Amino acid sequence: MATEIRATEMRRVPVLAEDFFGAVGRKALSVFALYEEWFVFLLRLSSGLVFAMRKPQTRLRQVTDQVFRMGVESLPVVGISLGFVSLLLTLEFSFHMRLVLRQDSLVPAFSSLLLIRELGPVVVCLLMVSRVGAGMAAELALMKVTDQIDALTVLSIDPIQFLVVPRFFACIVSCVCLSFLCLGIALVGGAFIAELRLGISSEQFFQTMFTFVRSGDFVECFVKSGVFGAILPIIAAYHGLRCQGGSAAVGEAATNAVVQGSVMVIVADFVVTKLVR
Amino acid sequence: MAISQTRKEMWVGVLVVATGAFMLTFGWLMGLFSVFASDAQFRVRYAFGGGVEVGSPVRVSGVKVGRVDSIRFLPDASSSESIELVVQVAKAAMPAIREDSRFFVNMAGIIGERYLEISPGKGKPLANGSVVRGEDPPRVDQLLSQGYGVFGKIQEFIDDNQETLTEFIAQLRLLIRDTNQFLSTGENRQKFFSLIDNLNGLTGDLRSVSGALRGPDARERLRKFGELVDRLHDADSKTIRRFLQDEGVRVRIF
Repeated sequence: MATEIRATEMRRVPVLAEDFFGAVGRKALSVFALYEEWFVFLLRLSSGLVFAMRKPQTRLRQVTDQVFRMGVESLPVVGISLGFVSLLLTLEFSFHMRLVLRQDSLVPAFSSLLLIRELGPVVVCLLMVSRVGAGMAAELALMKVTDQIDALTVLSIDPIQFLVVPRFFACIVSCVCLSFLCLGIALVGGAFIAELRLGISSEQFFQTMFTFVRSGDFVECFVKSGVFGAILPIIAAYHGLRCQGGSAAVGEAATNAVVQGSVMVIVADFVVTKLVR
Repeated sequence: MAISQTRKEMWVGVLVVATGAFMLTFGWLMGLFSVFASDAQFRVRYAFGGGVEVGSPVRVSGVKVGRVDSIRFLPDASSSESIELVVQVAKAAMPAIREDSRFFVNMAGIIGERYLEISPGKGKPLANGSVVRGEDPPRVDQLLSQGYGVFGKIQEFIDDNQETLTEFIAQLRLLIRDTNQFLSTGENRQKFFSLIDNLNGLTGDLRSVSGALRGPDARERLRKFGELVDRLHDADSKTIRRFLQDEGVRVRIF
């Protein structure tokens, strides 16, 4: 009897180990499967970027086309939006400063600092996510569901290198350019409303602004717009290229790209702010 | 209408060039670099910076003429100067900055941004690359801590001598009351004012005497008296006695 019990216990030890390691393995595989597509996509994109950097002339024309579509065509919409944000910001700051400090002479400094460090790149890139990210995801998704991506693969053309890499570079260039140009529009708009409603002359506006704004604030704006410009095409291209099904899937890809892109821009804003300051 | 590739490239070029121009303009407005005017540079040393930063404005007589380019710590521990500000100012402002100019770290606005204020002096113009000593800003933190120490000691003194102080104040009150009582009668008041008048006259006389003593006549007499004492010092007792007897003075000396 005692011998039988000991034999059963000896058999149970390997069974328990198998269960434990099996459970760990299954969990790891499920986690990996969840992010597998992301890993593979990012690896392919990285290799495509390295290739593009070694031969920058290869996709220059496509990059130019995309910069025109993303940057030049977005400029009026983004510029007007950020301009109005600046007007609102100046009036709101004036209200709050008068409420608390009984004077609003430092409104130009605070509104311009907030615009340069935060709102400029964030608002510009959120608008770019809505306009460009959705378009890019829908375009790639449509190509995927109509087998154009497969056709490129059959022709030995890497779709990532051919479609995503030019959009990646173009988006970074567009976001940086738009951030700075729209910032210029916004600051001029702020100076205009300050002169009109607050009685602060434009000379006084820019003088107060440059008392507080440092070169590091512009560097921060540059870094943020570059990072957001890189996030946008990665998320849009990922959702576009993994699209499967019919026209409903195309719409879903565009929606996912906009939602995830917007969230990622805000999260990245926090991370970059913590790293830069 | 389809846009030609050349036109697209042109617009992209416009976008990139406009961004570059915007960045350069802002860099220039912030004083990161100077395109048209050349700048002069000198260094100002302090024991305490008082919150001045790289990029803080530099003003001469309240007019902005430059910025603090960099701040470095001085290695010499024995010196009272611990930091050095490298200051960049427009060459046009240099004639107003003299060797005896004073360099203050001041505070402006309600937020308290720091700037370097230079008061123009009257000496020679400061040479490019000079090293000067600035006026250290007051250390409010130290003043506060010293103030706390002084007030603590006063409190301690009061606590230790509470009875004595109470008695002193009571005596002082009595003294004031008695003085007031004394002066309340017309006769005493008149005496008091007459005493003050006399004191006034006495001090006036003393002043005229001391003034006369400082005059050339008094100095001459003092000199002559000194000479006489010197001559008598060398003479013997017989000579002095004879001299005094001749003068009709009978006195026992020596």
